[in-house]
This record gives sequence, structure tokens and C-alpha cells, in this order.
Amino acid sequence: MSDIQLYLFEADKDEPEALRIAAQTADRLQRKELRLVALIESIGEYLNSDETPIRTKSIRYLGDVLSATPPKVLTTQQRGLLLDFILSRVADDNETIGPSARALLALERLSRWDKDAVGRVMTTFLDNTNPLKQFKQQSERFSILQLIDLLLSKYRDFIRALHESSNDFLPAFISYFDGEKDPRNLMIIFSILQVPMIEWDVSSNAQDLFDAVFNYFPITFKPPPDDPYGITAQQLKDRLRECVAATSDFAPYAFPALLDKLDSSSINTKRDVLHAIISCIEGYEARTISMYSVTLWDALKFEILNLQEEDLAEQALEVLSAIARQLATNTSGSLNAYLKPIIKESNEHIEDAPTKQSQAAGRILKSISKSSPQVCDLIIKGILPNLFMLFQASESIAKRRGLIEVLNEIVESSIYDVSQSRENTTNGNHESALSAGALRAFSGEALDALWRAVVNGPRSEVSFRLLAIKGLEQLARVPHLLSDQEVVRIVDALVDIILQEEENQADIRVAATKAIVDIARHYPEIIANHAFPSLMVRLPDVPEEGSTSYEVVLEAFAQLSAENKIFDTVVVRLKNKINAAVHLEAPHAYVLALLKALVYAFSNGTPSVEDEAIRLSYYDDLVQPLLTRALEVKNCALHTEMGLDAIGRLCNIIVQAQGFHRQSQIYATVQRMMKDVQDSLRVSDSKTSASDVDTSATIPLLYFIAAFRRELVPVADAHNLLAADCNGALHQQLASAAQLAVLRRVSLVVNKFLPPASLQAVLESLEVLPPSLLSISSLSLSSIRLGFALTKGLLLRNHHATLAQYLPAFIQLLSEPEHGQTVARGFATLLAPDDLLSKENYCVIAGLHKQKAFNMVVPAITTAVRTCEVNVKPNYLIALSGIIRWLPYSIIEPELVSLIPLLLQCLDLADFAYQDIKAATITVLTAVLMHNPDKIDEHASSLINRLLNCTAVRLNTPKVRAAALQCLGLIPKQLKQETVIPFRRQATKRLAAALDDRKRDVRVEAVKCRSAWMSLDEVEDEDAE
Amino acid sequence: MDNKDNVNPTIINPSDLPSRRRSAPTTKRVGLFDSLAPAYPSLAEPLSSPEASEASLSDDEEAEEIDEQEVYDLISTISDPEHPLSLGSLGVVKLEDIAILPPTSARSRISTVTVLVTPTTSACSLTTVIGLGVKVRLVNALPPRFRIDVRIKPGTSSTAGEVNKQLGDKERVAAAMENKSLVNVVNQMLATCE
Repeated sequence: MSDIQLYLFEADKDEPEALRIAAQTADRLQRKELRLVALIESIGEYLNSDETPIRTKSIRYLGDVLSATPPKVLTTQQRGLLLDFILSRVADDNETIGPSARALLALERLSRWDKDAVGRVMTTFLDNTNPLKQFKQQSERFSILQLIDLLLSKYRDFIRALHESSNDFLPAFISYFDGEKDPRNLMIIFSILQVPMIEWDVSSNAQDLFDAVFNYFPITFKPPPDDPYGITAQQLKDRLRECVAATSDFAPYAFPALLDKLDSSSINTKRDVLHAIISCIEGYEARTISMYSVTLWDALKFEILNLQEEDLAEQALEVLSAIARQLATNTSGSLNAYLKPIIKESNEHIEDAPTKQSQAAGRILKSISKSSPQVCDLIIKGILPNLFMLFQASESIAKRRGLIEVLNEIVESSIYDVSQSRENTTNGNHESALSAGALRAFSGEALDALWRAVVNGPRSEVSFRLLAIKGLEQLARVPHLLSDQEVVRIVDALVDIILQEEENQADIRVAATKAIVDIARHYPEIIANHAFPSLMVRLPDVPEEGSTSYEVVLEAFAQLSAENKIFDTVVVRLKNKINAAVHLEAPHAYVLALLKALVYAFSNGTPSVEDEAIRLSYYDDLVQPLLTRALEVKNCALHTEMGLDAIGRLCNIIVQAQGFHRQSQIYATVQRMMKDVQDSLRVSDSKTSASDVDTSATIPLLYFIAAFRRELVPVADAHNLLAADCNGALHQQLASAAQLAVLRRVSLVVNKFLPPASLQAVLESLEVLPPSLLSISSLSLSSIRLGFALTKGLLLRNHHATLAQYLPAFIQLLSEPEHGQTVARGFATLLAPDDLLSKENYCVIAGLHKQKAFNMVVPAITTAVRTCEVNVKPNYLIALSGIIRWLPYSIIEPELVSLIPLLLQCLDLADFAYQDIKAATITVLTAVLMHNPDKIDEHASSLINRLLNCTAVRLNTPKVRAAALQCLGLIPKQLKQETVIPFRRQATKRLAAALDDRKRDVRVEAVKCRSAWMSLDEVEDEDAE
Repeated sequence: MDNKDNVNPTIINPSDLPSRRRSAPTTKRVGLFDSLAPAYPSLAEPLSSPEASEASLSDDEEAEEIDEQEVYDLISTISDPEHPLSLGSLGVVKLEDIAILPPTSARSRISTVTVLVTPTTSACSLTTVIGLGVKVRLVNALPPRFRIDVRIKPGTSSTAGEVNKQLGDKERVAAAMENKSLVNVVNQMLATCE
């Protein structure tokens, strides 16, 4: 059989085989075993068949052969022959159009076409296959579109020449695509039509061309489920929008048509319209836009003034702003013509202030002003005279508040990035003078009005004064607007508020503090010279006994550390104040407050940086002297636990950031401290009590050890320190803060400084592995604590060998009647966050350590709890809750089936000592309800009853009661209706008691919870009807 | 506020509405620096005996009575059926128009909450619905030992007498709540309540 016969035989059954046959033919052509004429002849007889499928397959065969033929096999003449042949098929046989188009694509791949060929292909299709929609199969149309797309991308000039040589070409070309509905084809058509839209002169056919795409607006296409082509509505929308915005010639049709659709009742259509208008504004020429600017304003303003949907209003604002931005590049006449009606209408709304419309007018003016400094100036000149006139004419606070609201919006649009202004000033003073622009003429008036509102406004008018404070802050932030004296005036007023405002006006004081911090960014000197003295006056060296009035001043002062330029002044003044207060023996609370302010400055402020680390001189000049004094001078506030803790934090923040070299210098300076601490902890006479051994340095040492890099501390040093700490933890009666410091240091040292290979040996030599440390005979509170501290550090670094000893030992001990409960409570500490055990402090934190904790603890406990004695069962539940309260939900999710019954039992722990367990359990159950309500369904009855029990006063803390009510309130929404409805009566009845809870916060939750259950009733009623 | 008509609904800014925080500062303020050291269970704390938490209990259990502000917070967030605004911000319910009367005799436990509602206009046709919404909200959210008395503020509505009669009549309220479209309106109003 010949190749064509074989191909026809296989074509429908086995496509790869058919392709192989075509490739074989191509191969023969290449090896000259087969001549082209013979090939065409062999096809010929089938091309005349009456059966369409046979004709179709024959052309397909030709196309497949051409696809498989390498370039240069066929001569120019042969290719010309083939082109003629296929085009004749196109003209004669519409039913084989798809394969013909594909054969042409294959032919084109062999060699570039010339101008004549391109013209013939294009016109043959337009003349013989117009309109495209006559072909019913999507794939046929798709092939033709691919071909035309190819022509427009590779032979754009030739096609354009066709258009320029004949007035009839473009109308035919446009109507050719009429009526296409398939999304894949439309994607190509939109892309094809964009070429004439953007590149050709289409003025005489603009409307037809516009209609050809706009007919599809708005796109409401929804891709079918499992759509293999993956075309989304968004892609279609984007292409269609690009078409609509392609040429200014569309404007006369696009704007009326789009605005017409803006009246649609569908929000989605309106969104698409606004989006398209934005594209048009950006795509069309400014000259064109100016003809429609006022029409657009008239139509779009309603979306903002009569706000229905916030996002529509925002889009409309963007359009208005985009128009202004475009027109600003055009003649000033067109910009003025656009702004005039806007300013006029805004002024009318402002006259009625405060109304929703006046608020909206403020928004409009702000967005438009932001488009360019020039526009901003015009708006200011058009609005502010009227605004200030109204302000002076009215005594009503409400009116003035409405006006300030608008003023603030306009001033805000004048604020721009100061870094840009620096660029501008380098380009000459002209630019910077322009920046404050027209606002300069009104700054004095604005400042006066706002200043009076802040200073003289009635104390009860909170929102009025808040707005005025915001206004002052903004005025100060407009670059080059205010003189230094004017800024001083603002700062003085704000400082007065901070100092004088009563406690019940906390909102005002917070706003004033924020304003000062913001102004500090722009005028650091003014803040340092004017705000600091006034604030410092209120920070006495020694406050009166019992007075806490310094607190608010101190808070404001500490917040100013956010600005780097005044940071140093803030911390130096605080340091001086601390020294004076300590010297004059001020109350401890005051010194501690000053220390905390210093910690706040270093942790939240912006200290200076040197070599990419916080400047070391802060340590040398500021913190180190404090530390020395704290350690040397007993009986002073610095020497207290809290004082030492705050100083330790300061050391940690600064030392942590230093590089290896500087850290090693600091390490050398703390050697003596380390030795003293170790010596004091080694004293193991059980008779010595806390007062006999000076352990004060142990707290700051903790923070140093936390700050040091892993490679800095030699293993031998770490070993010695660990030995001393273990001894201290086991054998000394330390005060609780010192003891906590020792235990946290143990966690740090095993986590950071001991290499994994030596951990086992070190712990063994110190006799702190479970067999010795946790043996029942010598078990004590101290040994349990030490065990957990060690385990905590090991767990973070996932050290399996030692964890496999500690964790099972602890779980074993849960069955101990005497110590079981202590051990159980220790589990909660294992995964509890600790701000010193962090990456910043160079700890080894294994990514899967929580998963590890879960795997090593939870299954063991769930197994043990089934067989344990009743009296120790709570121990297991406590330990379980201690672990899972810190786990991410994804870890516990796979084990819910076995966990939920145990969690429910946790809620049965009646003893009042178990409140924290209950609270943590309710949190976990709440998460389960949110994520996997189906897992709870079968436990609904026991969960609801237990939660209701948890709302009982006197048996539960307010925290547990509130959490239980929150969780309970989720149940009607999360569980199946048929599951919960039977409990409705009981729940609402018992919840009525919770409405009368003694605590207000609990009552608030009870109201929410009960209404969730009540609303269940209505659903039930509706179902019943 | 001589004009009780409340004709053009002025909208009260949220920061000007009465709130507990502003009217009665809590005894202990949370300082800026308190967040510096977060509290987590540490090895020193939970291992020790649990007596500590019991001590904190007596503190916590100091009773906080239901007061006018709390009633205000319950009803001020109800939406107006006409405007997408809360009754508080429209001035329909005001803190000074809420009164809690203690039980009349030593033997009775029943206290009375009186709420006077100011309609946005004297001829507001939805006055009854608003009153009903307030009443339903309080009946559901206050403990049963409170008797709820919702009325129209004297002189603010042309139909005050009729509306007060309706709201005061238990059976008529119950009947109204059988009316499905009315129930829907009321639920819509209450949907914005936290």
C-alpha cells in the first residue's frame, strides 16, 4: 500500500502511527526516493472523494508531511507550487479548511514568504471564507486564526500594505471575525485586532473596529470546571481592555458606551467599566481626554458622593486622578476646564459640612491633588479661600470639624517624600519653592485654625481635637512649608497636651505623642531644643512618694528614640536621670521605670549603627557603667532583680549585634564576672541560704551568655559554666529570679556551646542524665527543674540521643503519686517561647523540633493514660496539654481522633488548680472547631456540656469562662445543624445565667455566644415551614 | 440640644461616642513598657505549687455590676433600618437616656432598665421597628432579672403614645415577632451587634 493509503487507514485510530507514516513520506522526499509531483498525484484521487472525512484526512496528510520535512528539501519553485495548490483548496473546498490552514502553517515554517505570497494567503481567506463563524468546529476556526495571527506577527508590513492599498480591506478584515464565541479563539482575535488598532490609520473604520471588540463587553465568561485550556475570564478582560484603550480614535465610542454600562445594576460590570476607563485614560492622548474630562467627572462623581461600594469609589477616584495626571501634561486650559466644575461642586458640599458629601469631596480633592504639584496648587487656590471663610464664619464645632476634615485631606496630598525633595533642591531652588506651592499662602491661616482647635477646643470634643492634631502634624510634614518658629509653636502645643491632658483623654495624648514622634523625623533639632526641656522638667530626680505622674512623660520621651538623630540625646538624658535618681535614692519604682524606658529605646528606637552593628560605644559609655554600678552598689534600685534584669537586657541588645571580634573583646571583660558567678554557685554547703552567697551577677551574666556567638565560647568554658550552674540549681536555695537565670543559662549552654558529639559525655560526667538526676530516690523539685531546663535546650536543637533519655524518663515519672504532678507541669515549659532562646541569640533551632516533641511525647502519653491509675490520670492530661498548647495546628491535626477524647477529659479536671490547663485546652478545641468541625461532630454532646460547665462562676476563672463562651459560640456555626439543634434549648437556658456573670468581659462573650445559639432557632423555624 | 427633632441626622464621630474607657479609666493602666517582657510559663513558675493562682482568684472575682454604659454598649451598635449607621452614631440611643432602677423592695430581685429612644425625625415611620429592635436586643442580652422598658423620648415623635403602648405590651411584642418580615428587619438591625 502507498503511504497515503496507510495514513488514511491509521489517521483516526492511531495518531502517532499516522504521524510516523507522514514522517516516513517526508524522509523519502528528502532522500529523493519520492518526487513531490508523485506525492501530490497520490493524494489527488482522494481529494476528489465525495466523502468529506477522506478529503480532510488527505490534506492533513499533506500538512503532516510538510511539518516533518526539513527546510531546504523543497525548492522555491516547489514551495510556490504547493502554495498555489493549497490556496486552490482553500478557495474550492470549505470543508477541508482546517487542515488547509495547518498545511499553510507547515509550509510557512519551511521558508519565509514574500509580499506577494502573504497578500495571496490573506486575500484568499478573506474572499473565500468570510465570515469565519460559518465554520462550526472550534478547531477549524482556531487553525485559521493561528495562521492570520502568524501573518500579523511576522509580515506586519505586508498586511499593512494591503490595508493602505485598498479601502475595502479593513471592513472585510473586521467583519471576518464577527460572532466568535470561543474563549481561546477570542484571545487570538483580540490580539490580532490590536495590530490595526495601534499601528494603522483606522479613523474611517474606528467605530466598526471598536464595536468588533466592545460587543464582548462586559466579559461574563466562566471557565468550565477542569477546563484544559486554562483561559480565565481575567485574561479575556485584560485583552479586551487593552483593545478598548488601544487608540484615541475610539474615544467618541468608548466613553459613551462605557458610561452607559456604568448604570448597570451589576457591581462586577461597574468594576470592569471603571477598570476599562482607567486603561483608556492611560492609553488615549491627553488632547482626546480633555474633550471628555467633564463628562467623565459628571458620571463618576456619584460613585464617590453616594458611596455604595467602597472599591468602586476607590476606582472612580483613581480615574479622576488619572485624568488630572494626563491633563497636567497638556495645556493648562484643559486642566482648568476639568478642575473648574470639580472645585465648584466641592465648594458647595463643603458649605454643608459636616455631611457625607463634604467628606467625599475631601477624598476627591485629595486624590486629584496627588496627581501632580501643579494640580495640587490649583485645588488649593480653588478650595482653601472658601474653606477658611466658612471656618471663620461658623462657631459650630461640628461644622469646623467637617472643614478640618477636608483641609487635612488637601494638606495630606501636599506631603511627599522628603528624599525626593532633596533631589529637587539639588536641581535648583525653583522646584523646592514650588513644592510648598500655593499652600504657603494659607499656611499661617491653617496653622492658626488648627492650633486654636487643639489648644482651645473644648476637652469633650475628642474627634475635633484629634483631627486638629492630625492637621498640625501634616502641616509640619509638608516640606519647606512652615518656618522653624511655626513648628516650635506646634511642638509646644503638642507637648502641653502630653503633659496636661487628663487620663480620660488618653486618645488625645496618644495622638499628640505620635504627632511629635513624626515631627521629630523632619525637625529633630526643634524637638531636641523645645520638646526635651519641657518633658525633662516633668521628670524629677526624685518624684514624690507614690506619685506616678512621670509615667506618661517617660513613655512619650522614650518613643522619641524612634528618630535616629535624637536617639543619642534621649538615651543620654535617661542615663543622667538614672544616675541622679540612684544617687539621691529615689524610689525604686522610679529608677526601674527609667531603666525600662532605656530598654524600650534600645529595643524599639533607632540607635546609630557602625559597621552594620549597633554602635559599640553605647555599651562602653552607657550600659557598662550602669552594670558596674549595679553590681558594686548594694541596696540601690539597680541592684534589685528587676534592675539587674533591665541592665542585662540592654547588654544583650547591644552585644548580640556585634561581630565576632568585638564580642571576643567583651567576652574577655566579663571573665571575672563569670568566675565570680561560678565560684558562688559551686558552694554546695546545703546550709548556705540565698543571703549568704552573692548571686547578683548571675542575672546579667545570663544576658551576656545569650548574646555571645556560638563559636566564641570555648567548650571548656561552657563545660565549667554548666557544671557550676547545675550545682547551683541542685544544691543551692537561690532566690527565684537568680534560679530562673541559672536554669535559662543551662538551656542556652547545652543548646549553643556544646558540640553535639560531646553532649552525652558532658552530661554524664556532670551526673545530670536521667538515671542519676531523675532517680526516684533523689528526686526533688530542683532536680526536676534542672532536667526540664536541660531538655528544653536539647529539644530546640533536636539532639535525639539525649532526648531519648530525658523525655521517656519524665513520662515514666508521671505515674509517681508524689512528684508526678510537678513533672506534669514541667512539660508546659518545654516548648514555651523564651525570648532569649532565639535565632538572634545564635541558638540552634531545628525546624522540626516541635514535630519531634510531639512524636516523642504525645503517643506515649495517649497510650499510658489508658492504663494508668485513676489518681495520677490528671498528670498525664496536664503533661499532654502542656505540650500541645504550643504546637501549630498542622502537627496535631493528623492525631485528632485519639486526642479529642483526652482534650475533653482535660475539661473535667475539676480542681481549681487546673484552670490554666482548661484554658489552654479550650484554645486547642476552638482551633479544631475552626479547622476540622467534622472531627468534633460525634463528640458534640460531651463538648457542649463540658463547655457549659466551664461557664459556671466560682468554679472557673473569668479567663476560662470567657474562653469557654467563645468556643461555645462557634458551635452553632461550625457543626451540622441537625447535630446542634437538639441542644439549643438547654444551651440558651444555661447561657442566660452567664449573662449575669460577675465579670463584664465574660458577659460580653455570653451575649455573643447566646445570640449565636438563638439565631439557630430561626433557621429551624424556616426549615419547619 | 433644644431642638429635639433631630431633623437632619447628624452623624456622631465614633471617637465622640461615650465609652467605658473614657468615662471611667480602669484602675490599672497598661503601660507602654509592660510589653517589653512577655510572660510565658517559665521553669520558676508552674512547677511550684498551684496556690498562687488561687490568690489571684479572689481579686478577679470582684463583681462588676451591669451599668448604664454596658446597656449602651449593647444597643448602640444596632444598625438603623434606613441608614447603614449605628443607632449610637445617629444619636437615636444616648447614654444619658438610659437608666437602671434598683429593685423596688428588699425582697424583689427585679431591676428595671429604661431606655428612651430618640427617632431621627419626629415623623419617622420606623420608630416602632427601632424600638422593637432595642427591646429584643436587651431581652436577649440582659439576664432575666431585668425588666426592660423601651420608650420614645417624650416630645420627639408624633406617634410616641401609640408606639409606647405597643412596646410596653408584652403580647403585642410577641405578636410582632411572629411577623416574618418584621423579624427579618429586626435581625438585620441586630446583625451588626458584636
